[in-house]
Amino acid sequence: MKTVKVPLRDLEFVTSCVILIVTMLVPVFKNTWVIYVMIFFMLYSIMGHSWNIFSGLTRIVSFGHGAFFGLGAYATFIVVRDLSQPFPFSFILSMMLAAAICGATSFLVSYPFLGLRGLSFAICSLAFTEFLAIIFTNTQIIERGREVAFISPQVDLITGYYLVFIILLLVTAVYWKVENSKIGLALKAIGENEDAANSLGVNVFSTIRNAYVISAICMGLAGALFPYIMLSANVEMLFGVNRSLIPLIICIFGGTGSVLGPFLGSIVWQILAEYFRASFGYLHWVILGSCVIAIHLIEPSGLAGMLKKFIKRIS
Amino acid sequence: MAVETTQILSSILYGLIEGSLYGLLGVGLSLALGVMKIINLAHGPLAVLGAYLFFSFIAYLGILPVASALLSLVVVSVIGLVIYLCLIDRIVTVESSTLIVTYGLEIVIGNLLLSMFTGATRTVDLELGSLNIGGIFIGLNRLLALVVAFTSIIVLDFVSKKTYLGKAMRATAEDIEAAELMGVNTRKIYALSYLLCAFLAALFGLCFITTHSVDPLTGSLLNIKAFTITVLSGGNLGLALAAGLLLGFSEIILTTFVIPTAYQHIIAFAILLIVLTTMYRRKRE
Amino acid sequence: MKEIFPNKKALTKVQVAVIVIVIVVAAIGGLVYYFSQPSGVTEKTEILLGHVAHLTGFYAYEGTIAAHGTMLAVDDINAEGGVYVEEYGKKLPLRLIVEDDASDPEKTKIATEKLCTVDNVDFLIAPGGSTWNLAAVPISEKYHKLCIGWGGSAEELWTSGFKYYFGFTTVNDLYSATYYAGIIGFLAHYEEWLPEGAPPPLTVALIGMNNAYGRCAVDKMEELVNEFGVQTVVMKEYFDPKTTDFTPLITKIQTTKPDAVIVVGYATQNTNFFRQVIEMKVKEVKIWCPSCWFPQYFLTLGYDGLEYFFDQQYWINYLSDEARDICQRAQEKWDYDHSLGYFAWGYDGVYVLAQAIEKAGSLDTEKVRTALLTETFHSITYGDITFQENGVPLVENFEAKVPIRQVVDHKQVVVWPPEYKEADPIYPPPWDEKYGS
Repeated sequence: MKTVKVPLRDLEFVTSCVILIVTMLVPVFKNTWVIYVMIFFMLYSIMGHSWNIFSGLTRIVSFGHGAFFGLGAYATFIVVRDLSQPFPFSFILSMMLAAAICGATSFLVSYPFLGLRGLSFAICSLAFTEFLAIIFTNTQIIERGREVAFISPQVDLITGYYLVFIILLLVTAVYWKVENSKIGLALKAIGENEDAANSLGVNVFSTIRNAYVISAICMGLAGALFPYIMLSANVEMLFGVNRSLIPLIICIFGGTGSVLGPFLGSIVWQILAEYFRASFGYLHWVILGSCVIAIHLIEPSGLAGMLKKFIKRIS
Repeated sequence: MAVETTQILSSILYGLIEGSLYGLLGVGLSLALGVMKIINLAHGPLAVLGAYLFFSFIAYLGILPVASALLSLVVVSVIGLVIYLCLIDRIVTVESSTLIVTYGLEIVIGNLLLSMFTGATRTVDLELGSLNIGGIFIGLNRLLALVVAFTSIIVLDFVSKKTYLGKAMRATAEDIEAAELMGVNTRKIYALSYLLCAFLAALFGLCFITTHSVDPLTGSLLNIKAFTITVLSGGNLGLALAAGLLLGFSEIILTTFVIPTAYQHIIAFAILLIVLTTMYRRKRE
Repeated sequence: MKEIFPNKKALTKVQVAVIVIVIVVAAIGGLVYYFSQPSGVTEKTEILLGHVAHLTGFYAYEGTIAAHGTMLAVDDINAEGGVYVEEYGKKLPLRLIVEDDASDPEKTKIATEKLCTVDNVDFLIAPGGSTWNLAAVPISEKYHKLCIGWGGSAEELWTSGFKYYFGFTTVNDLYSATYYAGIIGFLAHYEEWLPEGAPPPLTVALIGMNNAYGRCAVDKMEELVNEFGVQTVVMKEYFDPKTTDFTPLITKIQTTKPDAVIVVGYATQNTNFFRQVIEMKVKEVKIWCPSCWFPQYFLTLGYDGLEYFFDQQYWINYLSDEARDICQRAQEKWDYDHSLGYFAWGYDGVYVLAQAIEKAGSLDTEKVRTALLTETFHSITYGDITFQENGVPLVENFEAKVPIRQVVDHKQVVVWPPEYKEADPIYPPPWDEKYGS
């Protein structure tokens, strides 16, 4: 019997592939309720991967990725609402515009922000998101004096599902590539011990800046998808604290610095949230919050960590 | 726009009051951050919990305000201690863990309050009347809150510098291993620090509900303001008051005379961004 | 953490087994679920109503009150045996399924989808607020489910061609023309209520929350003021919803000295604002009016504090005996004051729908829709009501349904419009008497 083991990293890869395959096949069952739940699962996974690219690897926690989500959504509103582009051209254009806006913004702010670490960076990123939120609210760029910004349905549910899936594939691949490349190694080294990495010749600033920009672009893509699914949005929905904190919670829940983390975190979060919402109504948030605490106390390295330990124990 | 003296006086007085309340709000978070190095997202919700308990004791149990205040302070402090011992103690060294656990607490406390009290806002009117200062009417409840906030921060500063507990906390904050070696029971210090944080949060909650109104989900908004103060004061407890006053004054004076009131909170965020990016840069060793 | 061995592609048998088992179980589970869906026609024994409501989250207060409205209506109708459906030749009871969307539009979409597909409801009642209505309605349209909405005023709801959506709050034009014409109309017609020798209110300050709701409302009100041309807007300011201290705004008001100040905020913000106004004993302003009136203002600020303040709201207690009755019963059942517009709209949502089903004689969506468009219905909030092609309700004398009241002697006294008024407003309010000089 062969007892040679595959690195856990590859096991994560395989499991992630399995999850992606299952996700791709869900629409076959035609249960539209589950499809909707899965769409948001995928969206949160994309957000989680984006966050992981930067914060998961460098361990510099960002509270402010919501800013890029909002900017990405804004890009879609420009393309679909202001420029009235038809689908499918609009989709490609909005993705590109989102990438451009978020890339440029993150590049610019990386210079002042990426000198910070730890809680300072976290609060700085949060302040930046809130700052943008106030500017957008006061200038009314998105809502234009209405209650929400609204676009008419561009795609049907299944097409929308697969659009989100394509972006999920893309962002997962980006994360995987970043994690397993030279830049990934450098990021992890920075995460472990920045000074040591620096002394080994890693250009700390440009490495993390690159990761930040890639991370921001991926988050922007998630944001650009949002109007296609929701059809309506306002500043609170786009730049709110939830957009920034939920991917963070999901990643920590599921496991940072791992490609499996956001998947596991999102699945459990979505499924638990939906089950509790449908069953308990009133108290579902209380129960969900308690679950988060409980699961985290049982296994601090998240669900991916739980899974790893389980695998280790049975092999 | 003509600037009147009453306007200036009013701005100064209210800036003073709001600022000191901000200081009280921030000092608890600073304490948790400084001593235990944790991000206590449960801070705002604990303040709201204290406020609601205060309200309930007076409104539903008919207890006198002073007794209610003391009772809610005690209850929240005990809850804080229980939270610490059961939940946070085991993961206190891991920053991200405390983040997620306290975020979970934020959700739990906020929504529990929501289901028990509905989303209606509550307030406590102490019916103390008001004082006429140079043509401006200031409610005595606000002056009371001002006094309480000022006093607590000064007392806290004193405790921190002159008592054994305070010194032990500071030692633990600076270097936990050295403190252990010096015979400080750091686990006990952590527990006491969290209890103190909960106490301060509840105290703020009391001051807040007597001067403003609260609803169950105010906690998360309070957290953001608390963060601002913590960052501004750099974790130094005595400076929390100064930071609070700075924020309070700049908000009121800038929005009264310079910028539209809609931009009020952008001041806090702008201050945060500027201060953080200039003064908190990581120094290369 | 990682074990790195030369041959990276091999998996242990156990690991392979685990992965295979997971996939197989998932696949079997999916297939079992898929094929276990009940099929075939079952005897219709009840009418299923789905209501997506904000039971938790930021808007839990408003959402719960509306949900209570639907619940009470269902109870009332079932107490009489249900709704008579000619097609089945008998009365069918209503069953209400309330789904919580946690005030989150994402969850609204999921909940609506669930109600339409898993629960297969016959009719839907949408949650409150344009944002959530816009999330729910595209889904109900897709499944051709009739959806009654309340509390959504965004134009897109009526101009996007939704066939199966009917509402109780109306398009912005009608909405503003009635809701805000309440206080704005009151101000503009001052000649009809101004006491002898009193100075007329000619200047207005509009204060709103700095979000979509506040900005919309303030803009509309400014438009109306300019349209009437009687008053001028001397101050237009916004404040962040997170604001707890309103000193800058209030000091600006004290300098600008407008005659009337209208504040657009939610309960928390308005309570904080007026609390400060009362504390600071602001005497410069003669007419204080929060655009949205909650019964809880009296809980927090007291009748004494709010003496001489004005309010406008769908205060259904006043509207009719029926309205008073259902509020009273809600108070008994749930032990807090339900006399808010949302409650009545929730109630009417079910009540009018039931009438439409009876008139259509069927549960078929198209037939009920036709009935809604052609017949006249009785509603608790507006009296007799008909619906236009786009789903917007038409009510006779719509303007007259928004009374303006002033708090006098621990009571709310209707001072406008003339057809309903109980007394003339006390104007200008004796601030010196109230606050001391």
